[in-house]
Amino acid sequence: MPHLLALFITFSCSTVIAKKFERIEVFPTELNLASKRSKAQLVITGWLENGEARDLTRLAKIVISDKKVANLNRSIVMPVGDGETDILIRVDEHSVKLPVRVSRQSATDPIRFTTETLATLTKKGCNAGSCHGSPHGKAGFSLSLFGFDAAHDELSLIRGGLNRRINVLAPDESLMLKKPLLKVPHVGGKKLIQNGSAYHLLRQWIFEGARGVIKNEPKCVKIEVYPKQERVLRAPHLQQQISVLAYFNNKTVRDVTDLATYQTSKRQVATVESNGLVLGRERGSAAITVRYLESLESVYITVAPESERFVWLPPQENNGIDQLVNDRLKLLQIEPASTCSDSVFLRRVHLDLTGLLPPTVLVRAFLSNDSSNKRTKLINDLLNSREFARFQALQMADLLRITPEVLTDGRATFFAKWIEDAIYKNLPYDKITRQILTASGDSKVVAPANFYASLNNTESTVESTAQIFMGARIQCAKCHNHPFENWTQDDYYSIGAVFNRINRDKGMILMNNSDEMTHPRTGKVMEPWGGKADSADPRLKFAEWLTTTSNPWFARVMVNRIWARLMGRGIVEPVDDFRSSNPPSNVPLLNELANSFATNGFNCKQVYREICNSQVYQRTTQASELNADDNENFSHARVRLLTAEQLHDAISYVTGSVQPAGEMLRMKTELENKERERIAIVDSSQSNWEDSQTKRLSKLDFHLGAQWSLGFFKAKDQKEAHEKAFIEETKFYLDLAKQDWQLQPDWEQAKKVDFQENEIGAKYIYQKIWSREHAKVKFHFVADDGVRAWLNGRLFYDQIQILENPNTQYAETELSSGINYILFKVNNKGGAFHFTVKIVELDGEKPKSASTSNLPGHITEILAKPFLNRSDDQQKTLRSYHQSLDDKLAELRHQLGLDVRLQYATQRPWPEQTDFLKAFGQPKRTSPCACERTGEPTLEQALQLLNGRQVYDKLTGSNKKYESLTDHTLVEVLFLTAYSRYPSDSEIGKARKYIDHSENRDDAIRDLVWALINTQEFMFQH
Amino acid sequence: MRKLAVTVSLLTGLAQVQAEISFMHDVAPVLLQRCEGCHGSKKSKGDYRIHTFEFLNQAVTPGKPHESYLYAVLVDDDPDFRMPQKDDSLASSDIELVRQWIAEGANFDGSDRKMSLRSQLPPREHPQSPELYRVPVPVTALAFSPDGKSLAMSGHHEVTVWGVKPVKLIRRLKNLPLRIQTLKWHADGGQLIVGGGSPGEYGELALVDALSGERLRVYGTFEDIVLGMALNQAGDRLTASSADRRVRTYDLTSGKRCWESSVHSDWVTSVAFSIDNNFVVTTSRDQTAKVLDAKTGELFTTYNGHRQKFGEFTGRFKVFASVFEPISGLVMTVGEGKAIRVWNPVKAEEESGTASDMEKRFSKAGHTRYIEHGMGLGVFAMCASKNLVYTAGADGVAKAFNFEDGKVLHEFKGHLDWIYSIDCSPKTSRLATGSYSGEVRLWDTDTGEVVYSFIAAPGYDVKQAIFDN
Repeated sequence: MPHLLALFITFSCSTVIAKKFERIEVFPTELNLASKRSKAQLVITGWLENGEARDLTRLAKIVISDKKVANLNRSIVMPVGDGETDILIRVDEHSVKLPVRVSRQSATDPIRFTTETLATLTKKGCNAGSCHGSPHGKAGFSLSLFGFDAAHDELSLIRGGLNRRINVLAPDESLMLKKPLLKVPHVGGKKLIQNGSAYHLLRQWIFEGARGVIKNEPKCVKIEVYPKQERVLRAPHLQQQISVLAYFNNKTVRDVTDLATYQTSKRQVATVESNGLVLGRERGSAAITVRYLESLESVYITVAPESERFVWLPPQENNGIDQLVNDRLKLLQIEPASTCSDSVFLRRVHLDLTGLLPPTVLVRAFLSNDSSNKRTKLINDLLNSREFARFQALQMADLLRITPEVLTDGRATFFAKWIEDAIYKNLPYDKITRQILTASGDSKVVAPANFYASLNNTESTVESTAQIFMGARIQCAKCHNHPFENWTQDDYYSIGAVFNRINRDKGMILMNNSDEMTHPRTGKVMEPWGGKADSADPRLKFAEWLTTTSNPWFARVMVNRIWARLMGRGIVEPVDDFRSSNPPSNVPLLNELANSFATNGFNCKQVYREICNSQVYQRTTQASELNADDNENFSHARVRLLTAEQLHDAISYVTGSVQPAGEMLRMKTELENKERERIAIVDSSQSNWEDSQTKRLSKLDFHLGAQWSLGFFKAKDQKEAHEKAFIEETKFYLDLAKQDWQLQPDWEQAKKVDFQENEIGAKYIYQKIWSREHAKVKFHFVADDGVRAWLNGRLFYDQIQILENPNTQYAETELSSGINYILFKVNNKGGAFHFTVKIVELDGEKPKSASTSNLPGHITEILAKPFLNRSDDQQKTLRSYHQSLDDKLAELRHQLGLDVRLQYATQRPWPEQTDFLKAFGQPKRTSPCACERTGEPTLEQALQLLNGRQVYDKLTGSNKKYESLTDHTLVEVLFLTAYSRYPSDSEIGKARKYIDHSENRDDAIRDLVWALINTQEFMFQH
Repeated sequence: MRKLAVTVSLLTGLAQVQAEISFMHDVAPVLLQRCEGCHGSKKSKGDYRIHTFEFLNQAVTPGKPHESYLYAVLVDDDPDFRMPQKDDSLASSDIELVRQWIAEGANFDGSDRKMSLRSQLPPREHPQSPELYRVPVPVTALAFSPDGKSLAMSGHHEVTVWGVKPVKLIRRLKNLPLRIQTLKWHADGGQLIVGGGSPGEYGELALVDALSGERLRVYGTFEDIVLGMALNQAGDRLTASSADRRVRTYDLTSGKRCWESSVHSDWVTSVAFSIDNNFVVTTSRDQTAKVLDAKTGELFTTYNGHRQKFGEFTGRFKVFASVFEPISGLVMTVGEGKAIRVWNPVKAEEESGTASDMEKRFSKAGHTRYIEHGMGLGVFAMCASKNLVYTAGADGVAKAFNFEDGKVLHEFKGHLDWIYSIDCSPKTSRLATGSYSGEVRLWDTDTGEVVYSFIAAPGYDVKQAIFDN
């Protein structure tokens, strides 16, 4: 009987692990144990025919040939004496031989402070944020968070605290051992056990003299974690051993499996022991984050059920997305849902792409359309609509924090409109991003410069840029190395160096010439991320680095955002929290989407198109027993509450308080036609207008060209600012292209040239003056420090310090006939100050007001050119300037800008904050985090829908939309409008009965609308 | 029968008296060590605390161990309920002690049911010091004898006494606390007052025979190590401060405790008696110095000059040392930061006020005088003689300042490690400094030259330092 039992056990074991393996593999592939304290965790893997791997570390037979050289503690190899030997690993008929070299067993090898002592404290949680790693420590004892500041920790542990924590002569008397052993009361609890390796290491470190960081202590440069590829743990084989090797800058490698820390991203899927053994729990995916000092890697684990019971019925596949999603479902044995109905699809895709309910007419037409490609066609139509561009712009505007409170003077609308146009024209996303990140100039003129205008310092610029474009939340790294990611403080300030030169001056975005970023802890000047700048603007290199096709984040973050908008959940979730400890739920899918996005020229609409056309997008929300618990693998569609703006518009539409989308389109077309007609009329008078203006200019005594400014140039004092030439001042024809001249609005408006409080230095102002004839001219200017002025390269005014009344400064010189070049240099000795200039006398007489041109300088300059010398662009500028003078056209354009925006929240760049919208999670736009928009159901939402003011107001007039219809059609239209579907017979019956029994038909209609609004079918997207 | 039963119980009662368990000696040390971390003054898991007898006793039914929750949780079969949680259980002999003590009526033999038990524990018996030192220990305290001929200093569980001329180990006073943090000679060199303990758990202030090493008296025990100690000018009062935040004053001859004060919120690092004996000045890691009434221990005023936002030498600094200048009667306090503060306790009180006018007061220059010492990580120890003040600290340099004008007279350079202790002997013009590395240096205070340097560890041989197990 014992024999039989033994036989049976052997047999059953071999059925579990035998015959299917193609080969076995052991990590590491060679062992070099060069210290008494070296050890090595073996990981033994068996590869099955189907490509799946299985961890055999605890099942394989491991034999060491020469026990005088090395020994074994389960699957850990320990050195014994100098020499060489082999380890033989056997699994059934497979075997692997692993050479082992043991050396330096009689040499001393003192414990290293950073890589061992501090790593041990990290492993035991001593320096965690909630314990002694908190900014002020705990109970008077402070360590740096996860040991990132070894000097601080050395002080704290050894000599600091009046040397109270260690005792070299009697290590066991050390407080730093007695507390975690609970030999002395420790509020943090028991952290060490007397026989554990951590205790031995710390005790030995103290025994050896408690030495701090020594010169040339080897630094860990990277870690290697095995397994590198995602591992599938298929029940009942739910174990995976991890092995961690640390590479040091002295070219040595050590096994740090027992010094590394492990953390699981999903406790219910997999847990991990402190020795690196992963234990699978429930079906799903998890990342095990492995941290050793500042290095961090993740091991991806997928737990799959047993393979026998599940039958995979291949579903319909529309494109590559389906295949990649289905691969995953098949692996995890989750059933894919079937395709949704036309009604559901229409409502879903319309809401997702445009934010609006489909118009009733469209619903009827779509449902009765038999063509097989009608879904694809609908998707294309929607992607080409303005509504799509507006709704997507709204979502982008959320992230870019576009609000009229911050971006005043119409800049919010200007910026939002620019984004909307970019989306409408489907501008490549890399181009949009580069334009935003490299924008300079007046944010009233350069729309993308508003990105910087809305961020008030370098830190918020770093954090916003990282979160929006790189999906990285790096705020933590401002003060210490990021606890869950490879982002270090160095990285933070190196990105900071990219943006530190930005000078935000009342909506003017300029680059300072210097302003280096220094690291707050080390005081080192940081090199900008993306590489040392070739020019004064490090943003160029950064933007270039960010938007290359090979950038690890850029494309992935954007496709993930689009995926999340359409599917209700990102492949990485939260969508702006990309880190190795928060893995994508489907790696190949995200890679494929990102690759094709990058290689297709960052075409956003194409991504939307691909996803919407996939069967995955078109799945029903109906869950089955075999996929109900799936939350992240897209086996079925998610039921989603409409967003605040969507719901607002849907209610408005159903209650008839806004024009239907079709009607809107008609109105818009009408307006556009009118606009075109008016443009034709205005353009027809274009040449007349130009002639008359040119004539007028030629009769004027003088007229002015555009005003340009250059600088600020920093100087050490006012004298230098005044006397040093920062450009070739006497060259009276200044090449505008060569220098970074900024176009200024015009001289005639006495535009101020501003200096800030601490700007000691100079600025230049340059302008052309056309004079009809040779004339004496008198300039008046306002300035309180120094001014120099040149006409045609000749210095005619030079005052380092204006001491008298700064408002009554005059300078005289002579204009020659034709073009004159005037150059002013203004210096500032400190203190805020501005400069304005104006011509007040010509040949001793005040120029008559009629003699000034009243045209903007840049228009004047074009008009001054002979017609044939004007470029196409210049012609265009003239034409649009001429159009802008026409009141009727201006009114039409105003209406066109207003049309839908006033009525539909989803179609506006910055819907105002109402109680209703706020209740449903409208973000305040104070952070770049997608999490600012909340989708949590609240009591207030129910109250708003049942009897909120806005809903009540809209309902009051809702009968008007439907009253002219017969009862039957009325019910049908109501359902088509609210649910995009026809009512069932029983629904028609009930509704009609309600109308019949009501005393007042209008009230009955209002009641029906109210009832529809308050259903789940209405509030949710299915 | 009844009579017999009474007799028997009387007899057994008598028998038990012989072996009766002492709560303070036998039970409290065990419970404090194993339970106080979770059930003490800082943390009270399950709403139960044992740091005073009154609290501890809430879970005890005298005479009935099995009805006493305190005992029941020690022996619970379920590992999730058995205390200490997530730790090894108490030794069975210790559990038996608890059982027996409850069975015997759970009597309290301490002095105060409401006071912290830890501070009432009887003085510990200390183990032997090692014959030979494997490695040196940091010299945290040293003191010249009144005649300046010998030097006492801290060792491991001992005080070592060294002859100065020539330097040689004369005597070892063994079986003292683990660490000695403060030392004073007394009775013309016949006795030593020794303060020290084990960090985080125990503090002791004792009078020791300077020849035999016998502990003549333990003035008191503390919950954490004793850091500072001072004698008044008359030599009849003794004050000590501890990392447990307490300051206590004792009558030197009777050993009676005169008062206790706990007005600091962190370790009390040093104490000093004013020249007129009216005040005790204490310094603390809580960045303040306090002035206490020397007779009652009541708080006279708080000196905030080590944490100021306005004026000279701003910042927030821990304070480590204090000493009264003998002639002027002004007190000097020092710690982190760059300057010694010289101030007058009475004026400090006059300059103090309410929180509301704090900024106004701080913006005005107070009466404090600053002696800039220019030592990087701060000064740990200080001593004064005549018009000179000596400081020593983390950059391994000791300095002598002229008290009047703050000028540096000598810089004593040579230590390669942090200096923790300093003392001077005006009679013999000698200064002694002791460092983290165990090195003691003797200096000539007239010339500033080093006279002798040695490692103050009996039997220690630098060439054979043993770091390997």
